[in-house]
Amino acid sequence: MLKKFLNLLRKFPIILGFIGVVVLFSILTNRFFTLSNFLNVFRQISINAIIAFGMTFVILSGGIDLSVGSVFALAAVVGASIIKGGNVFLGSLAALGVGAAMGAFNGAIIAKLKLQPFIVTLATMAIARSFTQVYTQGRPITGLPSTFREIGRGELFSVPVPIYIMFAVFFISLYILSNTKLGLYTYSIGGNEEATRLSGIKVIRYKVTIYTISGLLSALSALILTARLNSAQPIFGTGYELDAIAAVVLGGTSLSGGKGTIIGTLFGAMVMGVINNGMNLVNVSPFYQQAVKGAVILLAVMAERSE
Amino acid sequence: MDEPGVILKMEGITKKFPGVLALDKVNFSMKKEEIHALVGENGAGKSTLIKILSGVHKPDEGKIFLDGEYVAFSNPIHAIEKGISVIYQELNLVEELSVAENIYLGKENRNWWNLGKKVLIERAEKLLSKLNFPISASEKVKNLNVSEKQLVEIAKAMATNAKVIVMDEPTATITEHEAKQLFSLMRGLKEQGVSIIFISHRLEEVFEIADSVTVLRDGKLISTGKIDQYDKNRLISDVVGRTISDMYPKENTVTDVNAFEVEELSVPGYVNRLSFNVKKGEILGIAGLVGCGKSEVALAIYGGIKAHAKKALLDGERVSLPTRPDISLERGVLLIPEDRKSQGLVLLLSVTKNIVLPNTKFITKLGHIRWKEGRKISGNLVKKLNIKTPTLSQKAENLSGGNQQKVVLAKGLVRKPKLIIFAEPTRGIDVGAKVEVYKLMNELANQGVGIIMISSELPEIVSMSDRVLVMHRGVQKAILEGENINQENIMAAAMGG
Amino acid sequence: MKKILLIAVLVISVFALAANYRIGLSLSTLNNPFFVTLRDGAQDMANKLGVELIVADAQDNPAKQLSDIEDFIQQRLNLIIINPTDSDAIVTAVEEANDAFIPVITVDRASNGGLVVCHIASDNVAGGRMAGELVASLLKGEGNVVELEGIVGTSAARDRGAGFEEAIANYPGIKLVAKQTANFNRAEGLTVMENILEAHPDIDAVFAQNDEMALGAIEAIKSAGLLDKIIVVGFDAIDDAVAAVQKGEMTATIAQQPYKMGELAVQKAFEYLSTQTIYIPVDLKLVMQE
Repeated sequence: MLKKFLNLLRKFPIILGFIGVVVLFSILTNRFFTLSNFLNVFRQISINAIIAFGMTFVILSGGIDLSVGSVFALAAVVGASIIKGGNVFLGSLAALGVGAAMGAFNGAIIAKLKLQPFIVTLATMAIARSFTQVYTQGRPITGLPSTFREIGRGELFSVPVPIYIMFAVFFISLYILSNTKLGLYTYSIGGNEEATRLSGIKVIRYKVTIYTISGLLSALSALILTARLNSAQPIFGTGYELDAIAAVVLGGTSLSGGKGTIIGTLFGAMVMGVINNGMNLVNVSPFYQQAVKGAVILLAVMAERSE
Repeated sequence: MDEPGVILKMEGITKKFPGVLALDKVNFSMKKEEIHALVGENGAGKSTLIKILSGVHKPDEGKIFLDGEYVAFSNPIHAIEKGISVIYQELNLVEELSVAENIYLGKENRNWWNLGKKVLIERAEKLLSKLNFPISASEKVKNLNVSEKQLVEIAKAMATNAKVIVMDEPTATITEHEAKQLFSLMRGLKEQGVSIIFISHRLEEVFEIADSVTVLRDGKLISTGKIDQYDKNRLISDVVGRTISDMYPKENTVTDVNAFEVEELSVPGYVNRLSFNVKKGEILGIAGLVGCGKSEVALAIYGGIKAHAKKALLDGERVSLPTRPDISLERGVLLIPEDRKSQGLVLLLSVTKNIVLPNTKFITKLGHIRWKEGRKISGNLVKKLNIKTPTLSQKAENLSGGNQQKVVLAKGLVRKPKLIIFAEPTRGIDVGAKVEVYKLMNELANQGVGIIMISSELPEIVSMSDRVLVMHRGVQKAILEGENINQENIMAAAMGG
Repeated sequence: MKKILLIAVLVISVFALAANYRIGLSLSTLNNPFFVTLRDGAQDMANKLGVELIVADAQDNPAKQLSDIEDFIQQRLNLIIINPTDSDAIVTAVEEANDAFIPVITVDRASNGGLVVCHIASDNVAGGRMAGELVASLLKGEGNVVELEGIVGTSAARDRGAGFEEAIANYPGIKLVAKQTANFNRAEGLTVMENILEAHPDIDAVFAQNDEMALGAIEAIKSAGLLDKIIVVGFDAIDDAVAAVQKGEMTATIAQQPYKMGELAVQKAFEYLSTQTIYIPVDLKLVMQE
């Protein structure tokens, strides 16, 4: 039992990091280690974690998706504008559709034209942000029906709905990556795209699917935040791509592709969320907070390397 | 440790890689101003020894003495500073820069960029004329051919006052005429006080140029001495460790039914209207120099690159040339790609996952992979092909070259093939694994599979093929059969004769 | 008939003359409703006066703003209205306009150098003080207070915070129990407030340095069920915030009147092109439920 746990730690040093920050903040304040704060932290983490799960697919396949933050905003405002009109289901569907379409667009350009994912998604990041601003004329969309708001605000057995959504996405991703063709090909494309192609796999099709997943999940995450805030904002999601990438890399996934796990990403997102939460609880001066986050990322990546 | 006349001495060098003992207490010693041939099969440990000498790898055991002084290189730059330069087969030049800039790139003068271009070119011209190299210092490297680029690499080494220059198969990619020129330049370097380690698979060349020989086999030192202590037979038996008939078991029976036939196969820029057929049970060898288009033929038949043909018949049926690999797989056409690391395997994935990769459809239902069945399939193949791996979940990168190659073969054996293209099937694998690969080829041929073997290793082409198609610059120069299959005829055709 | 003709000619020539004025408006960002409103005010006034307004969005990037203004100078505009992304970084651009003899008016944030015809702004320190006094009086001089800071290092964050803290310092019973940044962002206002509520469930009032953060904080307070216990004061009076004040969710917001600032900037620009003007502050106004 203990041995199994130690093995797990060796495989995922990020779990050790997670335990470390939890212990640290528990010592610093008695307000941290409480059930209500844990539910609170997990609800906050859900936003970044869901995007990061999508990002895990992309990075495992050897790519990167910088457009998630902007796609997040576009999906949020498109969805919110329809939801505000009264049709919650259609609006949610539209948001997810926008996310998936942007992702598919990324994937198609990257795979078909064999362009660098970094530069393609950098471009769509700008384009999606611009669409968002045009669509909203720079104004937030506020005042959404309470049925919709349950996605973000609701609770089931005193556990917030976003936490259920996050774990549902987590388990589905876990299943896809370990037990399906799509998962196997995600790893193999990232490990060696040419060998995968020569093994008769339709690499283009799978790459499009992978980026579509990333776009879809940022849209899902956008719906949760929109519901929680009762508002969709054109500035939503700025910098979210970096948070998601940080969570993925903290979780031990290699930026060069082919190597990593979704469990690692979950813990990566948890570490980032707990640090944010803990620093607020302890009332750390905002001047230091960025440095603390940066230092944690560096430490984690260094621990990963020394493995 | 000061022995007169000895420039380099390596003592008791041992190097282990996961799963392989690459070098086992190897001694190597060479004199000043000599050309010393280092020979051995692929996987014998030559390249590991060179990588240790040049500071790329650290030895697990053993010591290196240069000019009587004990040295331990921490990295390649350190080795270069001490006077050891390696000229690899893949040349290391910046194509967009001039010859002079390449020679002095990052060398000597800490701020060489402050030198005017003119001064730089003058210095390079002086060096080149001293070495008697017929290239211009101001020419851009991208405008040179392969043998000229080699000279730039040599000049680069000489600019750092190299004491020992290692040349890794310098003749593999150049013509015979160019090789002769290279040899005379090498003799010139020797007179200027440089010692050269020369690696080659061509035994004739060893006798032509070398003063001394060291033979490695399976990571061990087999023999070393002056060249006049060797004759061709001794050298071959030292290198191979057994007689040739053991090396190349050939026991397939050719039928008269065509497995595959193609007319006017063309790959734009590489292959021009190639027509040939391969019978069931036959091994058709395709030979030619590097860049002759034979690699592209393999990919074209398999659908790996864009190509077209007037007519193609598989198993007697008219087929269009495949546009994607999956089409070929469905038809029963397999490719064992020439570079297992970049084309054959996903090194980060396990043995099972690599084997299953092109065969997911047999174990998948609605996208769900039944890994239990996957492990059963891979377990059987691992046993059948005698793949040495601790577990099925071992990552492919941790296997030795020979076992990696067997995993590539296993990928193809899940299906019932009609035609298999083996591209460089034994490149860089040890002798034992080679024989197993040949035996497998025989076995497949005898099951009625047509086999195309594309190879740069003449002995294997000569010994294993029923017929040999020789290519030169994208066109077919000869189809050799029976008695006519020998190294001389193949080389003659490959040179365009 | 002659008279009518004369008037017509006069009117036409006035309009023709007016239409000749081309004024540039370089905004720090259009990603914030505050500046969108400011632009609307400027645009409406420009339409009314018949001047051509050319708007550039610097996306909070001082480098982009400099090149935006250089483009304006190249176009030989009659006057440039600048809403600087940063008071120091803008000096170069102002000086370049000075060199080209194009007058400059600054809005909201001032320039720390160069010659400016006039500066139109509301006083952030006074606004912060206003919020502090309000909180103190509503709490009757006693209670736990939280401050949500804007982007660390911006002048708005600095000034509003300074005013607020200066005001509450006069009341020894008021304790500032947490001061955390939420980067002027609604989503961050939500999470930061949630976290603070975990640490301090006994909070009496929140001052957010802009409405976006205040609205996020209100969502957090709402889910904690403390809406009727906690006073929330925002800043800027954006539409959402005004609506929240009307609904009784937000206690008050300090109105900066961006629309008026935009209007005034263009109006003063128009005036300046014949006469000269001086510093005109735009009054702050407290928006509370009636």
